[in-house]
Amino acid sequence: MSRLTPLVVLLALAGCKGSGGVDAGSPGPDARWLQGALAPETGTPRDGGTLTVRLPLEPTGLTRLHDRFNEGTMVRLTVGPLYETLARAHDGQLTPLLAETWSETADALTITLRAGVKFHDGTELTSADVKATLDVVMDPAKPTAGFRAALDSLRSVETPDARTVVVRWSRPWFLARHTLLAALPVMPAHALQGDFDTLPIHRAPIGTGPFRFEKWEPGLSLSLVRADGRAHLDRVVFRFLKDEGAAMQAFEKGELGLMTRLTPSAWRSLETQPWAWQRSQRIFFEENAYAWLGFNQRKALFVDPLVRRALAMLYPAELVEKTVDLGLEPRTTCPYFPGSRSCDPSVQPLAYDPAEARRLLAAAGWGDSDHDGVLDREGVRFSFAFLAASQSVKMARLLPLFLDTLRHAGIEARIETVDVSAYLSRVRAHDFDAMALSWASADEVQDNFPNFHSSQAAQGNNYVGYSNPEVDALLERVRTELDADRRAALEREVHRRVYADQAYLFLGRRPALDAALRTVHGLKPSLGWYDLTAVWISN
Amino acid sequence: MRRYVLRRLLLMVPTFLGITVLTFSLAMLAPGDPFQLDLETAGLGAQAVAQQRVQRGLDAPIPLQFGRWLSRVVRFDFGRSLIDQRPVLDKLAEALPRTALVAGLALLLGFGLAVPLGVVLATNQKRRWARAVELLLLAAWSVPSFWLAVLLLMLFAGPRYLPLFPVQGLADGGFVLPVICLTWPTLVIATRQVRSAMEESLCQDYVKAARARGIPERRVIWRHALRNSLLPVVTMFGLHLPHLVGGSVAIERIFGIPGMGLLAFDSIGTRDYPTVMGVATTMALVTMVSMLLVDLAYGSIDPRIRLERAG
Amino acid sequence: MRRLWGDRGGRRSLLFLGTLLVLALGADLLASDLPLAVRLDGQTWWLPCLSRPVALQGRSLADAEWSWRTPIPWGPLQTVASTGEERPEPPPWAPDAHHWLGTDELGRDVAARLLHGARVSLFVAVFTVLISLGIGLLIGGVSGYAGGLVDAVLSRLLEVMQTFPLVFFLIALLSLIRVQSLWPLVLALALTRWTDVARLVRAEVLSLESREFVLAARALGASPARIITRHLLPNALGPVLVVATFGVGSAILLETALSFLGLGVAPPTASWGELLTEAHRTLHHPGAWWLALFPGLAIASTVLAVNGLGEAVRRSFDGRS
Repeated sequence: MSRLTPLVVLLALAGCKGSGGVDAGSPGPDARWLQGALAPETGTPRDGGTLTVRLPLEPTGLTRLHDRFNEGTMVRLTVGPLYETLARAHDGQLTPLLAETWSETADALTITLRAGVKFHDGTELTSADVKATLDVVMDPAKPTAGFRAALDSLRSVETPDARTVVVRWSRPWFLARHTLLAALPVMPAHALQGDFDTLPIHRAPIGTGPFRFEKWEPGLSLSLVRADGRAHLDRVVFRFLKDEGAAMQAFEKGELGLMTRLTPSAWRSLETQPWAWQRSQRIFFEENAYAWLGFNQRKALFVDPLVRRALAMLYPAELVEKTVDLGLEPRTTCPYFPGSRSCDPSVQPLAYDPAEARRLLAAAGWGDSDHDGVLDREGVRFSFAFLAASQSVKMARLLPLFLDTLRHAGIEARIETVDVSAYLSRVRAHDFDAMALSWASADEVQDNFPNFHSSQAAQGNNYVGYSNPEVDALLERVRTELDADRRAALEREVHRRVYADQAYLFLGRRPALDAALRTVHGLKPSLGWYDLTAVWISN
Repeated sequence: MRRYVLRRLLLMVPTFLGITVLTFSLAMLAPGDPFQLDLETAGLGAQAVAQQRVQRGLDAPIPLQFGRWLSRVVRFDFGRSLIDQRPVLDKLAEALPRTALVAGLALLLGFGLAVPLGVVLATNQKRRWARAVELLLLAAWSVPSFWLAVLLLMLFAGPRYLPLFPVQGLADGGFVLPVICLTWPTLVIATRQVRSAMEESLCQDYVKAARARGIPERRVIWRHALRNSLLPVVTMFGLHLPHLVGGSVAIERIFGIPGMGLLAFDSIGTRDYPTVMGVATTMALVTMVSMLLVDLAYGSIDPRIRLERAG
Repeated sequence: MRRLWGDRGGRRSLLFLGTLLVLALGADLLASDLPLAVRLDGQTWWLPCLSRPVALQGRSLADAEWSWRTPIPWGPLQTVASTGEERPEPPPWAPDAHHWLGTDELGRDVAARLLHGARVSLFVAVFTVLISLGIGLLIGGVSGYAGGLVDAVLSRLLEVMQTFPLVFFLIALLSLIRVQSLWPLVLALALTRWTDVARLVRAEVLSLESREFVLAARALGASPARIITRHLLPNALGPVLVVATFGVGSAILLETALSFLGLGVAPPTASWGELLTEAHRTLHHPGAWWLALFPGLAIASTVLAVNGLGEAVRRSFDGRS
């Protein structure tokens, strides 16, 4: 045994990964720190300094127009401070940004641009830039399907003079107007010429935002510098650190000022470390994102909403929340932004109730006629596979728990793991029994037509093949309803029905779990991340 | 000599073709496509993906696609990444030097230390300390390399113990820890090889003869015996390179070094076919050239070896 | 074998590995959610932990007349959702009388997972080496014996596989083969690892070919197959066995590295690499030393023992020659 001694020392050391030891004498973190709420700002902002931000992944390109980069969270965070939209959405209201004013008729929108706005390369913003951006989006040959889908009611764009843009619609649609005003980044026309895939602007953005692109060292970091007097910070450096354990060490060392998108595990780990209470603050804020399990409703096994309800009642929600989500991803029932007017607060999540689930399954014709411990119906066993992406830590933890409760109810489920690429292509080909995804949107306003309308089951985002004519009709009406209140009422109805049908097995909301050093001030989280112009660094 | 080198270079062609054909077909046959977004927002429907495939020529038969690729590569055009649209050559030019630094240092350090260590261990077999050193080497090798990396990072880069090195990246001495992680296994394997080769040579007749002629023991060991023991070690040197690069994925990930290992891992994971092929080509060339150099070194160590045989 | 047993290091390693093998093979008898024997509803079940009768699955053993549990009364996949354990703190739980080596963050018993993981990890390592040995012996032997064009072609194949980046092969192969079992992993590993053996065998065969006993056999009209299997391979076996033994050690280590990259054995199956990776991911419980220590010890001591065996094998063949 003596030869093992050095090993034991080595391994034991690794085992206790520097817990830091909770010192009995020092006071623990206060309630606000534990909740991840920020302390009220007291100091006066100071100009200068560099904010170093940890990103868990590298953005693939710095543009939101191109489909390849469009929705990636990392892209959104990094280009956020570089580009601006015509208007800014906040609490359901639009306030002017690049546009000075706009006026609307039923089928047209006339926008007047602010005068004197300059791109980072010195050229002046004109209506031609807005038109060029829209032209790129609407060109069916270009990989801009993401924005194009949201703007497909756009009929024509005219530019009567350098500061005026007139957009005409072919039909009323709430999302098109919202996307045009509050989501579409305005890019300079001269940088959009040439082969779209390889435009330099995808890697060296030229916007009008408060920060200007400085340099991108692939695999390492991306830095932005202050463009004008709007920001306090001199520089923002995004560092791409994949290994979370290593990133946490760098954070403790003071090499990183702001940690974004931590896992629940890493976020919780700060609680046990006295240095973290003293020198850092945790930030917890809601995002418009939720995770769900989907059962392929093209398969006989999952056609019946009763069965899907039963499955939801077998899902050990409380246990998952406690052991996997660590209390940080509360359950949701709503396909819209939780807490917004589009969700009906009276819809309660189905509680874990194996007895009721068995009753529902029996009502749907599932019983154990051959006494082999697995339910069957007309000679078919209730047996299926969860398709899971091998990189998904959450599923690797959640599914074993669910499998256990399913087995006790007489349902035989297994996990089939494939790598992410294969996973997504199989999901798109509808080649699965059950799978998991999460939806995320940077915006409070969203359209659930692509996710739940039956016309989207063949080629669109309705991967589970959900189909309900009443929901179809509702989703169509939502699209053409321009009045926000009436639209919210329709959306609440969608929420109620989608949940009653268990179109998805809704899991939890996915809030953003961040942490920052105490020297970083002015962090005010919102759906679109932080407003970096308000951030400043103290000594 | 020149004929030999020429013949070897010619023989590289089938090997090179073999590697590229194999890589290409494996990558293309694997389900999945490069047109995926973040897992959390896979909201691009099947139609848009199909359109992209057609635009990129990915709907053509695989042999045809391979032909197109090959015809571009001979003109030194590796194409653009399907993920970030950058030229594959740029990506390789960034990653290769990083890996060359870390893996190269590890290779040199590992073998450089292994030779004296192996000789000393072979000539002091009976000593207690020699056994202790051997055990220590083995014990360290038995710890999984990614775990060793996590440990070293915590001990020598993390804030708690001895923060000598930066946590991430190669700058400011950041290469030291990853080099140590990669050197360990190399050192252990190479030392074992040197030691056993030395033990064998030390009982050979010519060594005994040299001793009998009264040549000092030190000279017998370091000149006569070692020279012969080096052959298998040199072979290993050439063969070890691909292992080193392949084994460095976890190390590169933990220490935040975007080198060839990570590039290989990420590109196949995202089905970025042009990058996959670029990595495979580069790796194949580097390895084949290093093997050729090793074989040439053979000749200079042991002139008795006829180069023609080694082909 | 006798020579190995006579060697002090060899004996120690053999003892350790033998015990481990017994434990791994008997994992179902040592750690299971089902008992060794149970009497329930007037029916007696023998060894349900091996036969896993469906009628017993999910049944509570509380209403059994009597039952005889396995030493570790937990299955490797049993989470808190199925054990129904309730404690004020969520898992991971430290080692105690119920869970000798503690539990992971889903409440799965570490001891049970370690035992069943041993079976998985050893299976992967041993079969990887066996298959690569088979391929290596065949290709190396044929290549060395036949020479000429066959040798040239096989040598190129050898070079191709040697320079081929392992990760490509693994990811592609693992996503190509849709069977959820350990075989794709074993196959992928074996297909990339046979080259060392083949190289060695070829060299040995080349050097043996000109020896007198081979020439004599050939002169007597023995068939090539007979010469290869009867004369060449047995004589090349020594160094090959050494390489193979060390190969088991590195295959175990490789499996851990692959688990870390998410390419190893698919969850929820327990393997040592998976256990260690889980430990690395459980950041929120920095004091959970049992998660890393036990799998780490298991891996390290096994690799150490395998290497000890390798050294002993080498010594015994050196002694013979």
